Amino acid sequence: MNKTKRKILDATLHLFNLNGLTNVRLQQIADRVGISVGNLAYHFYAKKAIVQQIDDELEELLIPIISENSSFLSLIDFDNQLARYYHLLRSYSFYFLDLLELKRAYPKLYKKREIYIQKIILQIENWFILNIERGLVKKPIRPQHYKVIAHTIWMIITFWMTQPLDKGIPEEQERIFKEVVWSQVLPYLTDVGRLEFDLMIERLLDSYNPELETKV
Amino acid sequence: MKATKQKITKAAIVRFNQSGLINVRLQQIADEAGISVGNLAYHFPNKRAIVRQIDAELEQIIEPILVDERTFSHLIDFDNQLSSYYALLNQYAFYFLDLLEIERAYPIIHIKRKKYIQRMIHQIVNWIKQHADRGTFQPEIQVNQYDILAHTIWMIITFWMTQQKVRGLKLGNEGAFKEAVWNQLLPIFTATGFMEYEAIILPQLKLVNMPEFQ
Repeated sequence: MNKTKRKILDATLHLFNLNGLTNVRLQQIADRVGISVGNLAYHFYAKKAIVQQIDDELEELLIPIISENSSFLSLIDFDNQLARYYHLLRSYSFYFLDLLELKRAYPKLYKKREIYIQKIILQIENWFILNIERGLVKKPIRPQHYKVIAHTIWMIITFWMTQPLDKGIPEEQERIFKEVVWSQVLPYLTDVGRLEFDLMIERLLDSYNPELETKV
Repeated sequence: MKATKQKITKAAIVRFNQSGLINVRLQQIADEAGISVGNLAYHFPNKRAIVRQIDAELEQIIEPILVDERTFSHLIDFDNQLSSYYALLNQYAFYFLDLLEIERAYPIIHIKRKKYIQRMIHQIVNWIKQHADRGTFQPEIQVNQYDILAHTIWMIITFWMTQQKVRGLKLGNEGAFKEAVWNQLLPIFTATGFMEYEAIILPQLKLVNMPEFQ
């Protein structure tokens, strides 16, 4: 990709994350890059074309996350998965904020998202089920229980950035995010699962301040 | 309030819920109310004034839900609380969708909302802790366990409408909503608590055909 194109994309992403997708005009993007709108239009004929390109790049990050099935198995994999989601949330926050504006303005682009969501929820549910077989997760308390929990985990991930929270320093935020998601899993770990958690994960989380600062 | 004023705010809520607060123009509200824009302007000088009026109505509904003294002696009381929230979500959907657009355009409403959120989470934590003292729920086994739990329940409530729209699901499934919230509490019941849950709450939760969980 040529340099100016790259600059335009980076500038756009920055502005989208800052002001929301629908509130950014081509002029603002051009200003940030330091080029004229005419020059910008030479590279991208419309905002839509920029959005399309950014969406492609986002997919390159998202698809590997949601297609991992065979190797996505142990507790540490789950933790890594959360780290990847968190990275995505931070670099493409506009994609998670203003979801409905995105849907209204780019319905076609949005269609794909519904499929991704299905995949994310299913992947998390499968993780629970695979770990029942491995003896790390308890049998469900009632039918479909892990489906509902997987759905809640997806909600936590998706709306994490939308919460009107006072944001602390970035490292703290990731820890809080992980802690909230892990607390969805903790009650269902067997003794063996709990042991693995204490050994592998808790140490990771413990290295942070134990005081949860999800104060709003 | 005068009948026309009422008619206007009602119409505005319908349009806001449909298209999002930011995307609705006065003309559309007037059309929905079946009056002229001139007539509308006589009652409300601008959209901001309508929004302020709706916000005041919303306050009347939210306040009683959030009163501190509200006691939930039984699990069914919490279930009723969930019904109140669900009604609110439906009636004022726009308030729960497009949170960020509201934050950008109406900072005062946003500040009020942040206070509600605090009280709401606080109320849920207190409720869980009271019931832990009473033996319905187990004591905390994790630092901040119940703070995180209450926070998650608040997230489920607040973003319930948004997630339905985001996923392109049909709106209006109270059963799935309650299922999602109660499933948060399921692992912390004591034996006694679980009996109460099985007798009173479970019979009304039906898992059949919930597109949320397909």
